[in-house]
Amino acid sequence: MNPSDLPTFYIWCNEPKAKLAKSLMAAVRLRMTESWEWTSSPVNAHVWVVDGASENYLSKQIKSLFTKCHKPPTAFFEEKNDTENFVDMHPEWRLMFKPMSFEKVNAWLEESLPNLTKLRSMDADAELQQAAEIKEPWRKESFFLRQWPNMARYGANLQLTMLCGQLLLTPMDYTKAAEVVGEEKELDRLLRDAHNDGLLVIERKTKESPLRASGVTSVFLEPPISGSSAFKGSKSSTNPNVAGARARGKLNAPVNKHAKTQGLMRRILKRFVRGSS
Amino acid sequence: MDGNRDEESKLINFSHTSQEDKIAFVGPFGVGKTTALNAISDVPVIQTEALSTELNEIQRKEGKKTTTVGMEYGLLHFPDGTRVDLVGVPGQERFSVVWDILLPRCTAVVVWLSYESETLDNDAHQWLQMLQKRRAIERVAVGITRAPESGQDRVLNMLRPIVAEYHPYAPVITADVRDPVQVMQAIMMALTTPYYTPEKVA
Repeated sequence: MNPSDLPTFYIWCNEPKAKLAKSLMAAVRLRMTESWEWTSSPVNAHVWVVDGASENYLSKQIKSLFTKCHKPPTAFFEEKNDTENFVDMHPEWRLMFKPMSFEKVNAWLEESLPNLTKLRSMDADAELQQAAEIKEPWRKESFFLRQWPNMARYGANLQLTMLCGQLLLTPMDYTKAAEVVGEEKELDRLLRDAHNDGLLVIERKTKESPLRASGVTSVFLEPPISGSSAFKGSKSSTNPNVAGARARGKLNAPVNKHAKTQGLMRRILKRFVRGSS
Repeated sequence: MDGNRDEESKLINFSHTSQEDKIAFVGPFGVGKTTALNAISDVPVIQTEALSTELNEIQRKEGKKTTTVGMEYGLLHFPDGTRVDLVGVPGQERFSVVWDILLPRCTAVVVWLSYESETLDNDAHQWLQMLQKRRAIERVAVGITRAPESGQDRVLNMLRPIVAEYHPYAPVITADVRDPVQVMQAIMMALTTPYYTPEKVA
């Protein structure tokens, strides 16, 4: 595995410049399964290492830090004959005696690994989510449709049909779209297909057309495409037929007709889709 | 029977007087308009079918013997008391006078075309031109009947550019006209499609 592919873990130490800390870092870096770095922020650290010989060990700041509820695995290094602090104050810590050795550190990390693995998988989940956001950009941005998808693929889903009609008119964000459809599985499938077929247009931010805001019921957002294979990945149509149709007509419905049709669609949904309101 | 007579009288008068929404099914002879109407109508569809001499080989195999010779009429009732008139429009050109009266008054139109037609692209042109001339292209969907699953994308991609010549957003969908929900989906697509009015009709 390339070292840059390894998950990175952070260590916080109360005395990062001390000899103990340097030995510790050398030891953990012998492990081949993770990459280890220092952090000066205790809250961002995956493990803590406390040098019991340090004068600042009992400082107010560190004491307050140690009283926090969620502490990562902590190793406490002490001189051989002095365990008083450790026993009295922090029974959950791992006591280790100087000098530092790879075996000691490795055994401690292996024992703590279930937690570290959990952290590692949380990192992986975050990476997967980030990758999904790049792969499925409609989850973070608003979007609209250039043309009707092949609705037969989605099992005569009337809510999905209604959504697509709305997406031809105006951009919408994912949450709102999921509300219209009532479930995410088919919505995800439709958006993925539409994206792959070049039918879905992702917008940077939601914006309502000034025409629509002023009461016009339909707006020409973008030239539609008329054959998905021919226009895959393209941003605008060059189809002369579509351009011709656009030149010949307008896409504004009289307001009364629009309201009437909306009412009819609501009644159809109410009757043909269980549980729709 | 009295109920049927009531519906018949509505059928005679509705194109002039009714303010209800009307959904029209149009398309070539034998494409399945009557079946689609029957699938969703709440009342027995008033049919005006007669023995036909124009049946093709497939229709004979399917046992079809008749064709629609006038309008067909069905109804959708809603709990709030409102209703939608469902009208099947005869496929033959000699009934064009019915198209003239009826189509401009429709809330939405579904053009049904058969995947099995050897002249599918010409059929699409012919029917969409007919709607355009009658100013009935504003809210339209094109439904393809009898399309196998493997041929759906191909036929949609073939028809989309043709349909876009008449209405840039009009949907094309494949549907089994025996399934009420699929027929309703075609209607919903026609209703939700952005309203389009051509400036000039040739």
